[in-house]
Amino acid sequence: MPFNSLSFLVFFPLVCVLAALTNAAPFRAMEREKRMRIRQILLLIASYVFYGWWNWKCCFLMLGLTLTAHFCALHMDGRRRRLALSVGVVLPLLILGIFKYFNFFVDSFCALFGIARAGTLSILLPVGISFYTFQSLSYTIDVSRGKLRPETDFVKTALYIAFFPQLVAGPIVKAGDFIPQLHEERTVTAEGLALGVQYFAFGLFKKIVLADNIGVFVDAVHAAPAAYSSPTLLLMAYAYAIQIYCDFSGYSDMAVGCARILGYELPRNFNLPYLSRNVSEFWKRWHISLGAWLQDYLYIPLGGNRKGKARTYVNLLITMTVGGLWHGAAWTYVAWGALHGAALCVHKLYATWRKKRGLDRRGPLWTAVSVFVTFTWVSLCLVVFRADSIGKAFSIIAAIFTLQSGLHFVSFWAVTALILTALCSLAAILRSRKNGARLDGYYPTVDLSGFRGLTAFFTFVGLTLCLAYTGQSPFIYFQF
Amino acid sequence: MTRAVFKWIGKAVGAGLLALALLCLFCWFYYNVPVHYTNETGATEYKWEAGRFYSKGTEGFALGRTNNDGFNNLLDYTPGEDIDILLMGSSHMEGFNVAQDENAAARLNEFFGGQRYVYNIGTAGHTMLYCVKRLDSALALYAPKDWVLIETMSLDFAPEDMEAVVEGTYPDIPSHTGGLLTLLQKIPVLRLFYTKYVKRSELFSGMADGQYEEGAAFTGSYAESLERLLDKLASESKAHGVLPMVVYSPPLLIDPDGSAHADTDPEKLALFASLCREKGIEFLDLTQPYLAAYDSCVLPFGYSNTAPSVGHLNRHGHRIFAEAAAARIAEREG
Repeated sequence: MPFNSLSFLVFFPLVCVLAALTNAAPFRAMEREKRMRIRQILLLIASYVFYGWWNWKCCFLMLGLTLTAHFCALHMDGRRRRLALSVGVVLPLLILGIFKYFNFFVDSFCALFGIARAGTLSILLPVGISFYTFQSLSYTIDVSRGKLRPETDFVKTALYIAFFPQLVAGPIVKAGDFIPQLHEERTVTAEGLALGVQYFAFGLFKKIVLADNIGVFVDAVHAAPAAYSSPTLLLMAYAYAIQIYCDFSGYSDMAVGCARILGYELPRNFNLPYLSRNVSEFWKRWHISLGAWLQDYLYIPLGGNRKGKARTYVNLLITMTVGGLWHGAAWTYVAWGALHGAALCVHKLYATWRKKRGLDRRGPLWTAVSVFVTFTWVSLCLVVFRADSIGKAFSIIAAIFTLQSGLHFVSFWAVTALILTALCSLAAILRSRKNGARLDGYYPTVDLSGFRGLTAFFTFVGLTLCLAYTGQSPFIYFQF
Repeated sequence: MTRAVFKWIGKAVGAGLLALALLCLFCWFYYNVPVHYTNETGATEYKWEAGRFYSKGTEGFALGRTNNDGFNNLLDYTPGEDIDILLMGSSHMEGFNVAQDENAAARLNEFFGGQRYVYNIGTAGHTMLYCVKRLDSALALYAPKDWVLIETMSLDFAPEDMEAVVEGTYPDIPSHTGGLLTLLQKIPVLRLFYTKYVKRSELFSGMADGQYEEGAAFTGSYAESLERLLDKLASESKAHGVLPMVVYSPPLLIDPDGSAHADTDPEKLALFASLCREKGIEFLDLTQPYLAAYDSCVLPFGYSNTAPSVGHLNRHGHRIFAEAAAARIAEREG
């Protein structure tokens, strides 16, 4: 049930109304704990309905992962700690491996040794499996590290893993950030509703107006790159960078908005990534929850930067390559991750070199050039991410730099989105300058209790619906 | 508390109405398609509200005004005026997506430099089947002196549909007008929402892209029905003393290797062309002119706000159409 579907338009208000009803008189007389539990059970059922909408059988998979995480965490003491941790980590990874990567590895093996395709499984890839598997791993590992006390209430563990706003496309919420919220009384409030609907509308605009309209152009060019001229291919590369940002951050905004309406807070997943001055900064601003997860549960356990320079670079490369593979079972994702890993290594070397020479001070022109170069690098890497094969990706990149002749197509939506992105970035820069704070993204909200705010909001929603792309266009990150 | 809630509801209703007014203003220039009414003359299934401003920003950017006859022509229609060439066809022929002086009819008039008058009754959803169904009435009303051009994007017609046209039982395209329904259609923003969300499937299969009647098998029955259909076209044209021309305007598909092709069944194309020849109907296939344009990096279909080679004829497509039609007319008339 995608957020931009009619079914969600019925489902979500219904859930909100039911959740709000738990504030009504008969429930107010109940004990706080009991009332909270009813609300959480309601949200848990809603989450399973939401997930089962795609394929009800997948609910059993999620339930299995939840049971594993819950019971392993409960038995994370004394002698059984190692066993519980092993089961709690290996089993989810095994399930993820079978569902997502088994066929990929078999195919790759067969291709490498020239064997006829054999032994692959005919299985469905459950939507969002990578997201909730990582959440269950985060819970188990944090409990084993003593960062978190095991949750004794199964409903709370299950709701942490299945909470529908972030279930299928993130953000990947750490247990330590979410489970404590389940111990507080949280429900639908007027303030939460006013903010949540605006976050949701903002995300919806990004998704159905910008990402989807750009997607039509990007898809057409990727289907026949040989037909287009170099400037069109370059525009497509930039356009895809904006499309995937609007698609994924749009989903995250909607997730944050839905959670806010229900009274919960989800972490920010994007923070002006295309204003990054280098790749290291980019990974602190792009898909923040995945970056943080990989850092906490992969890069640091591998040794991080504590085991010498060479090992640091190897760790970076491994982490980013695994991060690439997390996105999907294809060599294009592996290559995308490895390219980013290599870029991080190069940037680390360069930063060390500059530091040694005392070249830390940078002017605005230098910053602008750095932002442009980083954005271009990220966009070119995304050509690899989007392409059907690595060969095709590099042929597109080669065509960009070899001045290929062909069709010139200036996509209105691509240009509009690039201009809008630039204007929003400028607004964020001016705001941070004005406030003397660091450069952070923000939601441009209005006061929905006043006439002006309501008019602006309704007009914005109406415009979103007017300009929306109405064809079928699933969220890109659902496949991961 | 209750008072505050009612106060907020009042504000919300007021704000909603103001927002609706602002959106109407926006849609006035973004998507403002006239209401269509059943065409009582029978020349087409329906026609647009006469003398109405229109705009389309959903596919291309175009503004214009329907003429006093409810069609997309630069000039108004005077009953009994001399029309030399009548254009019939679908939304491609109608040309709501391009500037009024850039559609095929305007281009042809420009080309003939006032020596001949070309009148366009192309209307969205009018596949070749609808054009043949309405041919007799259209020719009787407009009485073109020289030619009637029928544009078609497809040669795929189901035999039973062709038979229905010949038998006079082919269903009409309904116009949903009257009272509140007309009023609602006149509010551009509601029209846009309706078009986008409720009528999307219909748009895809009917009004916008017209004649994709997929899978009409190349069988004996297809050939026989086509022959009867073309018979009707030829005999009615002859009865009105006008030469018929079918202009085949196929969409171009771009291949992964960068080449392009029209997805036409060569056997069907050959049969169509030979039957036209046999019946004395001029057949103009625009595949080669479109491909030649593509080779010079010009796309006949698609707009900057949609995708390359997708959707309706763009201004280049209309120009190519007009040039090829004018050239063929000149060639036939010596």
